[in-house]
Amino acid sequence: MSTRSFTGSEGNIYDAAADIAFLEGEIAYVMAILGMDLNSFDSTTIDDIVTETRNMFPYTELTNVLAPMINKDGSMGLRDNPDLTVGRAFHSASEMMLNNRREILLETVRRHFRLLKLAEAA
Amino acid sequence: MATIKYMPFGVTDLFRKNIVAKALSKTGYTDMEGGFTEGVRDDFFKSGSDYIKARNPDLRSIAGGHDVYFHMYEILGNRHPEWEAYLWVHMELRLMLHKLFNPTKTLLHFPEPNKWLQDLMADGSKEVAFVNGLDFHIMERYIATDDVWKATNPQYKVIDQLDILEGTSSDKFDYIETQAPLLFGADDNWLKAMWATLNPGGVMVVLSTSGNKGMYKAPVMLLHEYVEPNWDLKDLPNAEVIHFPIDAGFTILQKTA
Repeated sequence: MSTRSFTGSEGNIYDAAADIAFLEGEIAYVMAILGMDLNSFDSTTIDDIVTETRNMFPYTELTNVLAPMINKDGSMGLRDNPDLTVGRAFHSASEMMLNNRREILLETVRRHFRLLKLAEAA
Repeated sequence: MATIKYMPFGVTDLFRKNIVAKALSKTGYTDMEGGFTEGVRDDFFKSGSDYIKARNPDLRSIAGGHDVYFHMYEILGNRHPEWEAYLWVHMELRLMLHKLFNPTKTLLHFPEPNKWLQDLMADGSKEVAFVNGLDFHIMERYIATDDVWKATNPQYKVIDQLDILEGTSSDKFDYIETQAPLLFGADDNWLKAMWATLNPGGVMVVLSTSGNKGMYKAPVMLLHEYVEPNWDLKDLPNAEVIHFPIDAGFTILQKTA
């Protein structure tokens, strides 16, 4: 690990090994959050990590049927809306929070995994 | 039947206003070709795209193939004039910020080998550094093969990510430009580490902080996966933070002490 300078004759100063070391650490961190076995890091696929993420933060199927609805006169009311055709269904705040946690983890680990594979192929 | 070259592109007010802005502006880069030297931009993004494709990246949905960031080199090359104007407006904003703050030491996370960067790297009084990684690698490979670039005798540094993360680098910067896809992580450690490399009084510009505008369109305000990392930006110590909801989100932070 170091800072390298290019002044005209050094050739490429990109360091794939250093890139890989960083990216592996970031991915391993997410695997540890998910309770995955770090000893199997080398054989772990992005599919495995995504599946574990979805297991820990499952897609919520609960949908609040009491959707807010704006009446003609501008007042807001709640309406029982089992068929979801009127008003708008929404998740509870806690479900939204879990969904957001899953999405940021997935987004991050997918990018790092992709960058890792590209660094390994550099 | 005549070929309509740009038929698939939806022209909207969003893009029209950038055409107007470009027509009514005058800078050294108003001509996009001047800003990126003739043909360099398209050549560069094509070279980046070719480099990545040659490594057969996994673009399945489960692997994140839908992520805009994965297709950045295709998106930024081969521009429709209105898309070019859109990119130009935001490039000018970035360059203007850098010019206004006039930093001596700059750290860039997503390098584009445009004319501005060429001038900056040829200026011996300014120091330019990059974060080690794919985008730096693609830029470095490109400029090493370009005679115009080589003739400018570019000078630059690269810093390994772990040196930043672990705080072992003694290098500090007056200006950092990064983008959310490269900055936001499973926690805020990387973000804090980048912040720690900034000198007091320095500025950090974070691009694309809205999750491709998703944060502005979420059905419940402030409930989007990018909100929490944006709170992390706001919570950085000694930081003045402004989130500008333009383009895909510009967040500008200045270190007060």
